Amino acid sequence: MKKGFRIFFLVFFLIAGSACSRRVIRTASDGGESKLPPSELKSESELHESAPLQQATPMQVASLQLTEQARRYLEKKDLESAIRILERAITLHPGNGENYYLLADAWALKKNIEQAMEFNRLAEMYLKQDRTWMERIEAQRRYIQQKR
Amino acid sequence: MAKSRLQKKASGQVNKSKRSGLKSIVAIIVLFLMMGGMGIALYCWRLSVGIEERFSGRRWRIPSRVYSDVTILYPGQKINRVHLHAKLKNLGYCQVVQKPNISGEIRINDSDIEIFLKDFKIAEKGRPAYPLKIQFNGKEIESMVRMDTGEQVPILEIEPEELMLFFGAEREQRRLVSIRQIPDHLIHAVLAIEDNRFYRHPGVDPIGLVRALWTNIRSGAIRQGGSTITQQLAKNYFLTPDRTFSRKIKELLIAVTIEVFYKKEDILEIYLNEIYFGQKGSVSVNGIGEAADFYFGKTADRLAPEESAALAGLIKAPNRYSPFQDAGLCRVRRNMVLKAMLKEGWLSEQNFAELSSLPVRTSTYRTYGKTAPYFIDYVNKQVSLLYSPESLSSLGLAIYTTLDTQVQSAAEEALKKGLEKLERQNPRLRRSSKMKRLQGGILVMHPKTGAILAMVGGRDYNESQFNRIDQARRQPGSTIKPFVYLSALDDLMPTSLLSNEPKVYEINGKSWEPKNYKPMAEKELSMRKALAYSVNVATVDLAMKTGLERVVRTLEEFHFTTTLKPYPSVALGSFEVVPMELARAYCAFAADGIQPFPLSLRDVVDEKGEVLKRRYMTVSQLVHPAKAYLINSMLQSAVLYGTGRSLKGFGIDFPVAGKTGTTNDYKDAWFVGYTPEVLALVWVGFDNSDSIGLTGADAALPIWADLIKNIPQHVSESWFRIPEGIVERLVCSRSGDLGREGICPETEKETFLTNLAPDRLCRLHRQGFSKGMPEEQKEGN
Repeated sequence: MKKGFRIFFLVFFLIAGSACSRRVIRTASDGGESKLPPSELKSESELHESAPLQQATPMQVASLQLTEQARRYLEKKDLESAIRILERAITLHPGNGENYYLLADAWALKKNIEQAMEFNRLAEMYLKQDRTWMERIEAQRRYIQQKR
Repeated sequence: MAKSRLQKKASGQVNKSKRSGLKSIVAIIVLFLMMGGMGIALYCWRLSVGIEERFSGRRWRIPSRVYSDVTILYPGQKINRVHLHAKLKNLGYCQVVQKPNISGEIRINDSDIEIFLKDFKIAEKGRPAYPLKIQFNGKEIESMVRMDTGEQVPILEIEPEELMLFFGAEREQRRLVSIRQIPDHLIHAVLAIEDNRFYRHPGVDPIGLVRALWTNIRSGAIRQGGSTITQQLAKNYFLTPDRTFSRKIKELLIAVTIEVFYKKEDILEIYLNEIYFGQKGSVSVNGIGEAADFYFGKTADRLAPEESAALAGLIKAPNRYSPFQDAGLCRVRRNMVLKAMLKEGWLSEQNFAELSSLPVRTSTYRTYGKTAPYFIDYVNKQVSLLYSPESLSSLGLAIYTTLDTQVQSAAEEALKKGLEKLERQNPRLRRSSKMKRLQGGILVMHPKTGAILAMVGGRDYNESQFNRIDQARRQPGSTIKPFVYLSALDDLMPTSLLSNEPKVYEINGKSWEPKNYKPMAEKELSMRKALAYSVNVATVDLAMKTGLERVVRTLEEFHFTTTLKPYPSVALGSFEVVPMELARAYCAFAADGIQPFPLSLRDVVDEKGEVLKRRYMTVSQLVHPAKAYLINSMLQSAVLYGTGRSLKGFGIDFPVAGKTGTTNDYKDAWFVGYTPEVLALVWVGFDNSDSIGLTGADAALPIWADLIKNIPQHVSESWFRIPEGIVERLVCSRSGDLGREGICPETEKETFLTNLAPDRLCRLHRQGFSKGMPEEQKEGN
C-alpha cells in the first residue's frame, strides 16, 4: 500500500512536470523570477532577468524530443531505456535541468539512491530559479530520502 | 539295389555336407554382416555422440563485435556532409542512381540525400527500415521527411558502425540466423542449386549420385557433385578436406547419422549458418547472415529473391562468383539458380523473367579494418576485465561504445594534417626515422556525461601503438593554471591585482625564479589578464598568496593520479599528468562544476539481445557552478584577447573557453578548448621530449580549430548559462574597484562571485582628484 502510494506520488509529479514543461517555449534552465533587490549595477537577479529569452536552438529542440521519449519510457517503467535516452538528451542540451530530474526519478525507481540524489542535486542546480520546479525537486528529494 | 541305395546315401551325404557347408558360409556371411552392421551401428552411435556434443553445445565460435555509438540527426543540425557520407558508406549503404526502393540504398544529390534506412536493434530497441529524404540547406539539415508516408521526422537515430571484431585463431566472421528468419525464396534457391531432393533423401541420395555420375561421364569432366546438403555439412563440420576413400565413407555415415537424429529444418539451419561465402580481406565470411550483410548490407530476412539466388549461387565457388569480383559472372550464376528454382516450380515463368533481367546490386565493399585503434585498445582494457579472450572470440557479444565515428575521422584528419603542416613549415621538426617523428594526441569528450567521442593516441597506429592520451605522462605547462586560479577564488576576484615583478623562490635550499615567456612591462596585472595572457610570474604570485598546500589540494580533488608536492613550480605545471586526466579535469569547468567519469563502454549485449552489462553516466559535483562559470569566463578572455586569440583567425567565431600550454624548452604544446557541449584536448610533442620550439598556440591550437570546425553537429555556438552566485559589475579597468562612469578613464564589465565582488568605488579616479591619486576613503555601494 505504502509502495503504491509512493508510485502514485511519483507519477503525479511526473505528469505535472510534463504538463508544465510542454507549455514553456524556453527551456527550463533559461532562468526565472527572483526577489533580489534591484541595484544600479547589475545584480545576480538582473543578470538572470536580463539574459535574453533565448529561442530554443535546434539542438535544444532535438534534446526536448528525447526528453519526451524518455518520459514515455519512464511512465512505462522501462527505466534502462529512459536512462539511455536521457543521457543522450543531456549531450544535446546539457543545461536542461528537467533531464536530471527525470534521471533522478529513474535512478530512484532502480533503487540507486546515491545516483538519484546526485541527479536531484543537479536538477536543483539548473532549476533553482523556477519555484514550481523547485517544489517538485524538493518533493522528489523527500521521496528519494524515504527510500534510503 | 543295395549299390544304388549306397550311392544314394553317399550322394545324400555329399548333398547334405554341401548344404551344411553352404549354410555355414551363409551363416558366416550373415554373422559377418551382422557383426559389420553392428559395428557400423556402434560406429554410427559413437559418431552420434560426437554429433550431439557439437550440435547441442556452441556450434560456432562467433567473434564479439565492438560498435560505435548511434548518430543522431535532426532538422536544424549543422553537419559535415563529407563525414556523414563516409559514415553511411561504412554502414554499407549502396549508392544508386534511381530513387532508393530497397533497404540499404542511398541516392546522394546536391542538396539532399534519399536513403532507404536499414532497420536496427540494440537490446530489443531500435528503428524499423523506411525511406527518408534528408534535405540540406547549405551545411544544415533543413528537414527530414519519410518518403513513404510524407511524415516529418523530428529526430533520427542512425545505426552504430562496426569498429572491430575479437577474432579467434580461425578469423571467421559469422552472424547467426534462425531458420524462422530465413525467407522461403532463400531456402528454395539453396535447395534448387545444391540439393533439390533434400526433403526426400535420408542424408545420402543414390539417385542424385547416379545423376551426377551420368552428367560427369557425358561431359567428360566433373560438372556436378553428388553430395547432399547433409553430406556437405558433415564434411564442413566434422571432417578435414582430404579426398580419401575412408573420409568419403565417414562422410556418408555421418550424413546418415545426422539425418537419423535431427529434423530436416535443423540440418538446413546449421548448414546455412556454417557454409563459407567468401573473403572479406583476411577474414572469411561464413553463414548466410554474414553473407547477406557483406554482399547486400542487410539482414537475411530482408533479402530480395534475386539476392537470395545470387547468394545460393556463391556456395559452389564463393570467390569466383563474388559480385565484387565479377558482377557479370555472378549474374550468370544467379540466373542459373533462378532457372533451377523455375524447374522445381518454386518460381513462376513471369518471376523468372523479371528477376533474371535485374542486375546484381551489391552493398559497398567493406574490408575488415580496425577503426579508431587507440580507442579500441582503451575499450579492450575495460572489456578484458569483464570477459576472457576466449569468451570474446567465441560468444558473439555486441559491445556498444560511446565513439562518434564522424568526430573520430575529424580528429584523425586534423592531427595528420596539422602535424604534416608543422613539419612543412618547420623543417627542424622532421625526423628521418618514423619512430622518432613528431607526435600528437587528441581526446574529444562530452563534458557533462564524460562520453569519449574520439581518441587519437598517436600519428599512426601501425607505427606506434603507444597511446599518448591514455598512457603518456607529460608536463601540462600552463594548461594547469586554471586549477591554480580556481583554488584562489575564495579570496581573490578576477580584478584582484597580482604582482608581475621578478622574484626568486627558495625550494629545498635551491633558488628558483619563474620567468615569463615574453618580457612584460606591467608590474602588476589583474587575475583575469594574468590567466588570459598566461603570465607565469603573476601566477606563481597568486599560488603563493593562496597557499601551495591549497593549490595541491585542489589539484588532487580533480583526480590527477600524480603525486604532487607543494613547490611553487606546481603552479606552472612542472609535474607530469596523463592527458586524459587533464581533459577530464577540464570537463568540470565545462560542465558547470560537475566532473564526470570518462565513459567509453555503454552496453554489452549477447547474441539473443539480452543486456549483460551497462555503463552509465556517473558524475560528482566538484566545483561550485559559480566558480566554474568564473573560470569559463576568464578562459573565454584567453581566447578573445589572450594567448588563444589566434583562434578567431582560424574561423572559430563562436564563444569558446580555452587554454594554451607550453612547457619548459618547448617540449610540449597543448590546447584545451571547450563549449558547453564538447571539449577537446590536443597535445603535440616528441616522444623523447625533444624541443619543438613552438608554443601551444602555434602547434596545438590550429589542430583544435580544424577539428572543431569539422564537427559542427557538436557545437551549438551558445555560451554557458549564468548560474546562481554570479553578479556583474562595472569596474574601473585600472583599479579593479567599482567604476565611476564618466570619471574613470576606462571601465569594463566584470563578472564576480556574489559573495566576493568589489564593494567600493574607484580609489584612483574621483571628481576633483588628480588622475592616479589613490582615494583612501572606502565608499560603499
